[in-house]
Amino acid sequence: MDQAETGSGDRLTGPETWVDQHGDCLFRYALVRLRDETIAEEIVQETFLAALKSYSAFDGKSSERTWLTGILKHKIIDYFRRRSRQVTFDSLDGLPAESSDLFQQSGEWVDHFDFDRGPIDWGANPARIFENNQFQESLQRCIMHLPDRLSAVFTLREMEELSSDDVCKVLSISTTNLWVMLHRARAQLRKCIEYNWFRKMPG
Amino acid sequence: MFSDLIAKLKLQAIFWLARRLPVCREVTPWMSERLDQPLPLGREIKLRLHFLVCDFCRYYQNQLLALRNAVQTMSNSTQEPDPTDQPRLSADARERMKNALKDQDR
Repeated sequence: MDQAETGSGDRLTGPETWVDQHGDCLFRYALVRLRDETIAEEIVQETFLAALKSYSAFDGKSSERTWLTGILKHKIIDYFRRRSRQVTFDSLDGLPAESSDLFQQSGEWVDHFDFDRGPIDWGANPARIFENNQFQESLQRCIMHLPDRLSAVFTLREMEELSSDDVCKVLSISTTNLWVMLHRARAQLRKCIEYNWFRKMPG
Repeated sequence: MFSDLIAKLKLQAIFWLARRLPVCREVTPWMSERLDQPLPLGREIKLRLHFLVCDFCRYYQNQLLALRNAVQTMSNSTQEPDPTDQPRLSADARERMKNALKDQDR
C-alpha cells in the first residue's frame, strides 16, 4: 500500500509491483464482464501497459487502484467495440425468448403469470442481501449463463452503465434490438436469481 | 355477510379490469424498457392499471430494479477478496505481465 501513498512523480518501485497489488482485483473486474479468463488476462495486461505509458499523466489525486480501474474500463469497452466488428451483435437469431413456462399455458388467464412459477416477493429490502458474498457468487454464475450477445448488451448497460445510445454505438446494434436483448437478458437473470437464491432461502 | 359481498364485488371488478388489460407476457418487455426510457403514455397507463390487479408484475418490476442495484453493487466492488477461492490471476499470467511491464519500462 505504501507505493499508492507516495503520490505522483517519483516511483519507489517498478510498475511490475502493480501486478501483485492490483492484478487480482483488476482481473476479477474484467472477468465478470468478459467471462473468459484468457481474454480477461489479455485486457488486464493491456491496461498495465497503457498505464505505464500514461504514468506521467497520473496526478495522484485518486488512488492507483481507481486510476487503473478507469483505464481498464476503457479497455473493456474497446474490446466490445472490436468484437462487434468481427461478429454481428445485431441479431436475435438463436437467442432464447423469455421462458414460457412462467406463464399459464391455457385457460381464461393464458399468458398471465402462473400461480406457482410466477415471480415471488423478494422481501422489503433485498439491498442488504446484495453485499452477501454467496449471493454475489450466485449472481455471477447466473450472468455466466447468459448467451454472449445478451451478456455483452447487459454488461455495457448495467455494469459499465453506458447510455442506451452508447451501447448501440459500441455494439453496432439497432435500438429495437437493444430493447429486446436487454429484456431477455434481464428476464433470464431475474428467473435465475429467483430460482437459485430467493426460492431456496429458508423462511 | 355485507363484507363478503364487498369482497366478491371487488374480486369481480379486478377480473373485469384484468380481462381488458394486456396480459403479463405482453407487459414484461415494457417493464424492462421502462428502466431505460419513459414508455409511451398509453402503455404507461395500461401498465399501471395492470399493476393494480397483478401482484406478480409488481414483484417483477421491483425485482428488475433490485437486480440492477445488485449487479452494480457486485460489479463495482473493487475491494480485496475475502475468501481465498475468488478467481485470481494465475502465476503464469502474473509473470507474463511483469515481464511485459519491465520490457516496456526500459
